[in-house]
Amino acid sequence: MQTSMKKESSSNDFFNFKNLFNILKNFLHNNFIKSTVFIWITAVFFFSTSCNVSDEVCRKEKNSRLKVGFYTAILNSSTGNYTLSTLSIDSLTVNGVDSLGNIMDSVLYNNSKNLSSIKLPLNKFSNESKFIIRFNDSIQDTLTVFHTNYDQYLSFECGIIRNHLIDTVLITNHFVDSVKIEEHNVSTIDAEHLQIFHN
Amino acid sequence: MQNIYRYFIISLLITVAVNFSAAQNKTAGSDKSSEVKWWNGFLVKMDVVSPFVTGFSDTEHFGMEGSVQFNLKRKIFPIYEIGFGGADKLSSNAIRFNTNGVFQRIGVDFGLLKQSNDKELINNMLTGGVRLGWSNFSYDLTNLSLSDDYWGGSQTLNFEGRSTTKTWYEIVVGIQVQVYKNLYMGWNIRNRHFFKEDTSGNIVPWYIPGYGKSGSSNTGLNYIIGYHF
Repeated sequence: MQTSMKKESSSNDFFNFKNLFNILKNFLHNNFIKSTVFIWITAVFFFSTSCNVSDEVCRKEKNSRLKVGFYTAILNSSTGNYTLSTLSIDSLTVNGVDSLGNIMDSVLYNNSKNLSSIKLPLNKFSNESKFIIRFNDSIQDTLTVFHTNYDQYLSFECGIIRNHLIDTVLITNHFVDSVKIEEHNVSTIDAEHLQIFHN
Repeated sequence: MQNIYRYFIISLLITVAVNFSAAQNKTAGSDKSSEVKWWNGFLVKMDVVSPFVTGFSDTEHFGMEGSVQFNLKRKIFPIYEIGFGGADKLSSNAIRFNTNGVFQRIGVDFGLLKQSNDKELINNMLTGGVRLGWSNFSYDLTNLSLSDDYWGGSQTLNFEGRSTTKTWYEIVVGIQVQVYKNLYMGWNIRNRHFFKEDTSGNIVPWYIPGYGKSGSSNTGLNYIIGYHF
């Protein structure tokens, strides 16, 4: 019996943790009282480690903003092609305009200096958002964005946010030449959605 | 989904095969000793952790579960687990989540300790195994607020009675000892994983009966008391 047992243990090295198992096995075998105590201790240990306080504060970005970049096209005289270059506006004032045509009380950008891009909030409860952009304190253009809205569930801690899909963009041509939609989906992902061109 | 089930079954078969080969090694070494019977009774178990947790966590979530485990050859332990669980939770931004439902799991445990074929029955075991769990439940996610800081306006969204089915698998390691005659005690740790991740942006339950707090993986502990028949 003894020899067969030895042979068995030496031949069967399938488990790497054989020694650990054997120690555990012997421990569990030899007396029941100690093993139950051991079980209780381990159970308490797992309890204490598993009952950590969960983080219940939202740490995700919750604002989806329309990002607009300003560009100018520069003619390369040698090749005859136009190259795109970012345009830094010396002074910029942006206001929202509500559905009745009234200028919103709060100003989005107030005489902000040297901006090459702006971030605007789209209306979550309407399919139209209108902005008046005043360039260099002299010329102003009206930007109208038509969009559809959709909801995105972030998490139980963060709740739900409303994102937008740009449909159509209209802009007056006082300072601005044209506008181009780069990205239709306005979400918390940082991307440039509109490009405004000025010569 | 089909692929995942296939994966589950294949991994199950591999585990069985590995254990059989290990078992064969053993019988080859000591073929003179008596054969271990296939049927060695069954164990009815109750989990004592979930009701205990229920009593100490402001009834944020609650549960109760029991299981029947068969003892085949004192080496293979097929198990069926059934339970009831739920949660009622208010988030820091006043979103309320509410659910309850029945969950079931099937699986198998394998004795990891080498069994010597002595006359004395060895009923203390270290086991490792897998489970396939599923739960069909409905949940409410209410008071989700949306407001527009610039343009004005606000809205509260309520999603009530949303019914869903979740499936997951678990990797379980545990210890079980015979405390007195037919009475057994033990614990097991389980690591749970979903088969399929939720599509981001959609409403998802915060808590899933039988799984716990929703997340790609989750670790749980069961402390069981069992009776052997």
